[in-house]
Amino acid sequence: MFKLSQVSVGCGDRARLRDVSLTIRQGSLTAVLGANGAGKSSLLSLLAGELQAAAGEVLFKQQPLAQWSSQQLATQRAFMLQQQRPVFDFLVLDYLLLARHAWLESQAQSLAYASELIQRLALQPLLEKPITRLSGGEWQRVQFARAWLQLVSPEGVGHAMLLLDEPTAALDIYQQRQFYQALQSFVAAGGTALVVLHDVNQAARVADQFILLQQGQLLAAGDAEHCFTQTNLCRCYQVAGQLQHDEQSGRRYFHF
Amino acid sequence: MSELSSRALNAAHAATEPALPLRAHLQATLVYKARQQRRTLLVLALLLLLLMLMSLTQGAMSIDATEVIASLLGGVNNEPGSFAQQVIWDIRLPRVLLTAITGAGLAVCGAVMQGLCRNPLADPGLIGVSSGAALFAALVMVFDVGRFLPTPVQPVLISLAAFAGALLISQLVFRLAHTMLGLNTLLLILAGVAINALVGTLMGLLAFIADDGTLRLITFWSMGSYAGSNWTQVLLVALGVSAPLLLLWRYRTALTLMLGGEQDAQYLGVEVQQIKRLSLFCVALLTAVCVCFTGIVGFVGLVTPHICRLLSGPDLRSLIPLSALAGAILVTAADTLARIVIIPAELPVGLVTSMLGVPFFLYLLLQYRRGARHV
Repeated sequence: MFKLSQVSVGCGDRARLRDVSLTIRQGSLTAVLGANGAGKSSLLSLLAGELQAAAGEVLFKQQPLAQWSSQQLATQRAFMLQQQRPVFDFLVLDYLLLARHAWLESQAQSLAYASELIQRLALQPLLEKPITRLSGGEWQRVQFARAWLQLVSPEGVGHAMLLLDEPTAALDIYQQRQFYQALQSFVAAGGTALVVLHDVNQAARVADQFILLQQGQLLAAGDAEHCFTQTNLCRCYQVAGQLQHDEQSGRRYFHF
Repeated sequence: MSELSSRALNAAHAATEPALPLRAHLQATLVYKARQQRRTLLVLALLLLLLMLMSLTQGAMSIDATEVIASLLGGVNNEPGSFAQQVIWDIRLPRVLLTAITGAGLAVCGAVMQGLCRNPLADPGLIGVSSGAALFAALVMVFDVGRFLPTPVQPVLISLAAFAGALLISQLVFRLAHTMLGLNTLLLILAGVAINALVGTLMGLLAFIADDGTLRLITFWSMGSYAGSNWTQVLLVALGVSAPLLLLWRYRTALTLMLGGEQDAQYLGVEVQQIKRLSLFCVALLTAVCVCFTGIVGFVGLVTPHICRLLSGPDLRSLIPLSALAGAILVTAADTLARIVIIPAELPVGLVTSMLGVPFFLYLLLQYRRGARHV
């Protein structure tokens, strides 16, 4: 999906990313980890096409990212922002349908995709509510559904990339679990996702690929085996901790 | 739940539940809403026509509605050139048309501005259009610029100055709000406040040096009046309003997407900077055209979109036509009242729009206070 070669963002002392090279494979769920200020959000903004690389090359589907028009790009990648709710009280259904803007299709077509997704994510009870009256968890679900809906093509979401910035920061653990199930079903449907996370153990639970950043530089990138290791995590966060394996699930757990 | 079982569950979900009933239901809902909206538009359009007709009958000389209709249709009861017919065709009809057009224009400006600023309290005045118009008009009046110019220019001089002032001052605000990354909306609001304050000060200075008669003129101009409307004005305003209105209408979907935030709209495929620049320019142009002959008719741009949002929701695809009709109704009603409450004199129309608008606005405020859950 994405291929970054020796990318830097900003320059000199104020460089936010330095000499980062990595690849994001189609169908992966990648977690971006790193201490505050390590460049996680900069990486996300870079992939979203919002920040320009000062050096190096960002390829999205073998084409330089800067060459994509925003309308083209909108059908290929979505960004679930950690954003404030608009002050205007759209109804959830209308808000969702706005996601299809870039596809230039009929309303009936949009509605066909939307209703399939609404059913899948069990959003029916919310459809007639104004977005200003949703609870935090509900708003998050609607945002996610809209990001997904933005990417649906006649062939599904296999072509598409979803970027998420701390999507569950404001959710309780039940809603977090619900959310990650939904995210995993997006990946199961063929989509590619990249999520910035603070919680390393949450990352270990959901992701199959990891990107570890430290002070704007790439510390490690790859699967859990090679990347989610005690040495890497201790270096990345500057803490002393231990990596444990959960026998039952085979998952890793970083104890600090 | 483990990842595997969740995937399996989702797959099962997708396989067993057909999406069709929901889809049909949603389709029906949307069709119903669209029909509802069309009905609202139709009702408002009829209301506007009735109001315009009523407005034609009212005034220092009251004329029968049947006579008005007959005269409009070029009927047989009035031989051409009768006094009633002259009043209708030369005085009232241009006036009523001008109120409707400018009302529509100002209300649409308000709807777009509130969307662009993502602030329900924004109005076209925010970008300095109204104050710029008022300042330049006042300049012309105070220094009596007309005496240096040839006679044919004199009657339209104030309008020309107002038009130029509106565009110049709004351009100044846009310049101030421009950053390396483009037009910054927060800066725009701040620059608008600052420039409006500056213009207010200059207006104060002008008022200080003006003589009493001019002062009265300035005051009245800044409250708006449709007295003396004529067909040339109607034609010019109609032409001037149509291009920016069409352009804004073309961008209705993009503008709607921008209600959710500029960054968000960009990710959804909107060329945010381009659309913001163009639509702000359209708003400035529209407002300039609307106020240059009549002076500043306040409150229409602020209140009308609010009322309409209650009816149609925030979506500009329905809000723009609705606001246009409601704005036309509000200003036509206000001007009719302004004409008839103290016959043979007239109230400034801006006073009446405020008198109609403020109570409603307070009502909205109270509603909001009831719903507010935080300080």
